[in-house]
Amino acid sequence: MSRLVLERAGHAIFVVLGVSLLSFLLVHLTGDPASLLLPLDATQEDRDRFRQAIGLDRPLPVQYVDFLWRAAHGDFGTSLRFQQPAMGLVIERLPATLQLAGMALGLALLIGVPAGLIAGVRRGSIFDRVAMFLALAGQCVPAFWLGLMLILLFSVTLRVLPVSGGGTFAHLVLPGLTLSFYTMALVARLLRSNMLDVMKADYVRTARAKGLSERSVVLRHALKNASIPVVTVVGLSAGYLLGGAVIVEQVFAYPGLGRLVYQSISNRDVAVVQAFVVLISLLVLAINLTVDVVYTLLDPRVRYE
Amino acid sequence: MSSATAAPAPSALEAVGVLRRPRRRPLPPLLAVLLLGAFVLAGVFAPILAPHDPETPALARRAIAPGGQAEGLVFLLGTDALGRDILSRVIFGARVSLVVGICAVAIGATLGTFLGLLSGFYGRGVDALITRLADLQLSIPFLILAISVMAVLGAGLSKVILVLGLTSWIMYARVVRGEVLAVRTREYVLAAQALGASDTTILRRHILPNVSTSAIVIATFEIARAILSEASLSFLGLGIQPPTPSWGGMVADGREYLTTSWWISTWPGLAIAVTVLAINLLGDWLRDVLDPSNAGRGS
Repeated sequence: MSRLVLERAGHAIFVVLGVSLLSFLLVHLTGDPASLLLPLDATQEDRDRFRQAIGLDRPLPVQYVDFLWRAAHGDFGTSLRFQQPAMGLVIERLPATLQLAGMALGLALLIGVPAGLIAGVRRGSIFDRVAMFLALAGQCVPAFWLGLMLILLFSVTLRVLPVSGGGTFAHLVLPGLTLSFYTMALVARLLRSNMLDVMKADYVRTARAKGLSERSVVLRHALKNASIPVVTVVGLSAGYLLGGAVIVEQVFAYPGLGRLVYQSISNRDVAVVQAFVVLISLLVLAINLTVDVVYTLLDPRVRYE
Repeated sequence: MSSATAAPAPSALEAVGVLRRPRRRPLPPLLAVLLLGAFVLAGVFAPILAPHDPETPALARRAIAPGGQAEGLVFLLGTDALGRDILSRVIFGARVSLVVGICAVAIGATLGTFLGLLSGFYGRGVDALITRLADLQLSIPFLILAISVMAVLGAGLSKVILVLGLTSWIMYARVVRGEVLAVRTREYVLAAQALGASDTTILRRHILPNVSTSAIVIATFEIARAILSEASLSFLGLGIQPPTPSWGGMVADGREYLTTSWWISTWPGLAIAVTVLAINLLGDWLRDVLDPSNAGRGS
């Protein structure tokens, strides 16, 4: 157990360094950061002065160490557009995006788990076929288009939910549903296929032979084991949900991180994009570590591997 | 478990994987092949198939509903806010998706297979380095990585292909690595080594043919993923630039007019969904047919 924790910690440090290097190199990707950060009509003199002012004339490794040092203190520079610390801006918008991602994850489990469970137990039934077709489709439909179609149905035609904006629970429903669809489909398909495997296992046969009710066999013995891999998927979905939020927020004009990043990209406000990449990656890393720990608690077999 | 409608219960031989037969009824792959055929034909012969000019605005006939007529011409799927025929734009959009899908996958498959071969064959340091690189990339959400790189590089077809290609190597590398480990100590490889064959020869003649099946199956799914990713980037304005028609960009074009002209966003989005669905169905089928180890798993 402790070796596992050490291993994970070492891995985490490596990932943090890698992410910071990548985020640092983002500005240098085009070769000349000055041309990225300055307006297109800046003169050569302006560029040279700018380089000196923010230290771009130093060797790259020195710049990276400096970047790392400041990043460790939460300093990613100032947003050119908002004239505020970049990390502050990102953190300010984080709760709204977390709410959206949380809503999406909640919906994915609330609908995906029962759907996968019933489809697995009633294999070949109409429910199974319809649910699995929807799940297959759910993994092929682009989220931004699905969002627009939901707006068309619920906001334009039925007029029951707001088209865009944020702040109330009603504003969370459509973006949450849109973002959840892919994960929901994944959870339903995975749980169904796990249920099919588990229902053939010896302990399920034993449970049945003991004379337990089918309900108890399915819920207490089969589902418990079939849902272990689902936990991993939920952990891995964190990255998808936070990344997908950028697009879904754009569709619904939802005032979260995605909107901020999108605006920053249009304004060539690279400091904000850097702060965003680092913060989200750290968040995903933390979530994955937590899932790893939960996994070892749920499945004793992992501990002894 | 089995009823009249469900698949017949597997025989003992099938259950242990000795006797296999394709699990899916042949309809889905047939449908998928037909849809994909239409998609590829549309992409290749777009200039011949498209009834109208996909790029030149014609403001006099803007936002015509599907099936409507103007200036003596029929617009089957309607026109967009600039008066361009949506059917023609969807057909030309197939060309962009096709090019991005094939080129990005070619880059990703080559890079990933190469790294997977190295990783599995040489092991140790090379293996550790490549595995670490994969872990690192996986810890950054793909869309966020793609969006930030595209934001800095600027939009454009070749950049989209490059970004999607260079970031899609991991699946190939992982699977190929595993397969190399499985065949590396087989007799024919050891024999070739004993006969003095060089590493390059062994990798190319004796190992690559054994791993190519898995790579092909992965490549199929990756084409679908590349098409979806390109559409997402183009939707955000970071992919293919107007006036070139791309499905993602077309969905974005119709966003403002959703309440008055639903068809502008609807058709290109449907084209993405159907194409991706068809490719995934084909991938499922290929996996069942080509890869014995997957037979009998899942449904």
